[in-house]
Amino acid sequence: MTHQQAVDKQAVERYLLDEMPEIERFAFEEHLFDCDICADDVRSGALMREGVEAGFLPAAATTVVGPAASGLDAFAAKAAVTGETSPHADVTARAGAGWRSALPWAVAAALAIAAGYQSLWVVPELRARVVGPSVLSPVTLRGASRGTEPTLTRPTTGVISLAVDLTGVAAGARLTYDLRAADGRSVASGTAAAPPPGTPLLLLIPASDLDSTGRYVLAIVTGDGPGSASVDYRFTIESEK
Amino acid sequence: MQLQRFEFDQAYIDRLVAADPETEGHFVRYFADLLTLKLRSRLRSPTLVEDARQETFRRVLTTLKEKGGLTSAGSLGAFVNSVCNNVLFECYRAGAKVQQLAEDHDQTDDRRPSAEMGVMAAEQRDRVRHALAGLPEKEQEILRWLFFEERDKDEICRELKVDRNYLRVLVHRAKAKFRDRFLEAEA
Repeated sequence: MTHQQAVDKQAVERYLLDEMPEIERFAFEEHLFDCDICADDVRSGALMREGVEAGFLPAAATTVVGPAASGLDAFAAKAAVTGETSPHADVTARAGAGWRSALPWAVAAALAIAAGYQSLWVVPELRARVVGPSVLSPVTLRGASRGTEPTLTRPTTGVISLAVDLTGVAAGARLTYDLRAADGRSVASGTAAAPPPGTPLLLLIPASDLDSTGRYVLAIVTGDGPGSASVDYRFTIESEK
Repeated sequence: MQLQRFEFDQAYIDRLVAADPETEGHFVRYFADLLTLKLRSRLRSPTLVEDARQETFRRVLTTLKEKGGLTSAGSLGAFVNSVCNNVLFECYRAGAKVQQLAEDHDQTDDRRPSAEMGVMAAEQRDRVRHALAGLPEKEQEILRWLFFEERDKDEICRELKVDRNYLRVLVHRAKAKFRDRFLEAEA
């Protein structure tokens, strides 16, 4: 690959966006290691990407409404203790910006069992909120047809963590989740990418948002369109004694 | 991470062959990031990436010293890349064999960067924050969608009413601005 071909093919951007087939990736790397211009371009792009992945962007122009605020309070309190700035510290000052305004209080993540890069598979929304080390003791949810329904005790503060067993779902598959109370009220919903095989999807829900005891159903839909599949995960919430 | 362009010449190769510490340091800094990017997409763990990177450096420097240099100084990058490919394929072959896992196979890698590297990393983090904060809000949003929220790129294109090519153009522009601001912070 020549430099002009690399430019014409937007090779640097496609390399950074993981859009290159393997053969082309090798071909571009042959050029990359030889071309100080492309090398410099890839380095700066990789640095930018890593900075964004690490959550170094300023807080998003979003508004947190309703239950979201209470959900973030726990994290904000933790940020105060750790001395770190909450990435959402200025959210209320930037009202009315964009479709994401009501979204991000439901936090999804998957704890990976595999070593290496998969040691912690974090759905992006989580990165913005975990401001320090935390220990989670999730309750495992299995499909409605597989075993008994777990019962969780609702803490007065903090979050409830659910580890959802997604056996048979391909890594990276698009998931849509919707948690509903017994009366049909939606408590949390959103999308996430499926974690690697053998790894549960972790869903963190502010305890304050599970404001009633009783049964809940978490519906997870895999894929879009006619080929999509839905699995229900049921559990019961009881009050702290 | 090094963001300065550099062209290799015969004098540079000679210094590498002579094991000049400063040149060796520059050589490692120059290629470390490129090798990491190359290996990270193909090897499953940071330990393997680091091992393959170190092995690449070792083989390149050893070969240069044994052969007394390269026929063309300009081919140093291609040589590093081809050595890395060999190391990578050996890793693949080794990984394909059935092996008994060691008792500590699932332990975290306890190698840590030196304190100096930690400080440098902290300085770099501040510069990255500064550079990202200086980007226009729309570009910040696109980067957030792509790399933080990892949203589907087609979905992003639909929302922005652009095609994939133009999305790359937007990333290219953001990258250029980021680079300028990053280097500003250095100055």
